[in-house]
Amino acid sequence: MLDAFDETLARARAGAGDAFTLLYEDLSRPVAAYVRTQGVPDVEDLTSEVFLAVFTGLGGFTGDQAGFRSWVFTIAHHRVADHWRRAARTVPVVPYEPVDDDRTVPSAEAGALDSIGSQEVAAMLATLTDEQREVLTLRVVGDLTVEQVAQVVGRSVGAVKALQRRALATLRRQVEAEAVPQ
Amino acid sequence: MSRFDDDEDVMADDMLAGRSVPGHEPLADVLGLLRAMADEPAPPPSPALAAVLRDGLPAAVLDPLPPAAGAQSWVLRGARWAAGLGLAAKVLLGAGVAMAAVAGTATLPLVPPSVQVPVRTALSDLGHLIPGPAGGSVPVPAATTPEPVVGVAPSGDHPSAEPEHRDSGQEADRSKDQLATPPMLGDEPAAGRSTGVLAPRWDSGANENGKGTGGSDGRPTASPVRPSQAPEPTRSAPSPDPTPSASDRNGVGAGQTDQNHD
Repeated sequence: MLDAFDETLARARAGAGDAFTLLYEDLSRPVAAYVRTQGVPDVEDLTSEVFLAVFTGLGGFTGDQAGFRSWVFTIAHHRVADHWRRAARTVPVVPYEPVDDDRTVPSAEAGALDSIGSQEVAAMLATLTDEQREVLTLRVVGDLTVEQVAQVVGRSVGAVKALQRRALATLRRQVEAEAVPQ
Repeated sequence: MSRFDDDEDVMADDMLAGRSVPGHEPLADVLGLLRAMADEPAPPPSPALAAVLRDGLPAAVLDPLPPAAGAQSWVLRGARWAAGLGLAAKVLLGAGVAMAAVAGTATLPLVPPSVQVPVRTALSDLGHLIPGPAGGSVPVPAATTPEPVVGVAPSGDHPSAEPEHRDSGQEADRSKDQLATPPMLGDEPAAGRSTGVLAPRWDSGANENGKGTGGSDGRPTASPVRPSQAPEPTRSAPSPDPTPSASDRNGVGAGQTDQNHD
């Protein structure tokens, strides 16, 4: 959260680069996490697209910091939807180049941490429907209220509450099933 | 929504907000891991975004376009004006527009007289029902189609047959006269009114004997049809014009009437 959000927003509206940097540092991590949980492979590019759209569209925004956060995630939601819409139309065929392959094998320690970390979470999120996963991610990662999530995804508050109830019930079943010794 | 759903929503809000909920610690741990994903370092910005973060953007790119002063068309202004009217005013406005549309259509040259006459009659009846601004009736539009004149062959070699200086009012009166019900045989025209065909109402240069055969300035006047060219059945001519012309006031019309009846 920014301490002087109004001043920062005013300077960003004037085109100041340092104000853009402050806004980016404040929201880039949750936005990138949201993009990552939606299964988008190129998180870096899509996150940058979201913030470019945010900065060039600042003239049309009015509201406080909470409204700005909700507005940024609304743009991210639309960008993710556009990404999957484009991906459904085109199937890219990229030849494998070993030189360009920057994948690395994590160390044993990091692997152990990952095994109880994001991979486990990603595996659990994969059991949810797209709507449940999006609502849950926006509530937890985006730190948005039920009303803000309803505004972002374009659903009613009751529908969002129902989706998060079902999402938590599914996760609870997953956790209980893993806790039971085989 | 049931009480159970309310309890579920309260519990879900607590868990999603990171508050501990007794009996649901394993699920709270999973949500804590999900929340920790937002603390991971952000990916590096793309070159375009890095340039924006470094250099900023020109203000012209960020400012929303102000609405142009003359951007609103007159159609939008008229629609807003009409939308602000009351119900009675809207009804009257709609009736006026409909009547104008029908009247305008009826006066088209393409519309045959068999259609024009009933429409004009209906409009004249309606015009008495709808009061005008000063309590009068809505004027009936005049016909603009030149009706064929009985007994007159408009030819180019006879300039007096078609007067060139004929204003629209005279044209309208003439058409209205010709469309009116012709007098029955034996009906005598009223005194001082002309039943003549193509009576030149603007012929102020009528001579003393009231025959109006030429202008005093020597120009060719739109003289009445010569008796030799005038058809015999002048009684089939349209009904007399209720508005007396200048020549009527000078007695020319009466003289012509007598002349025609001769």
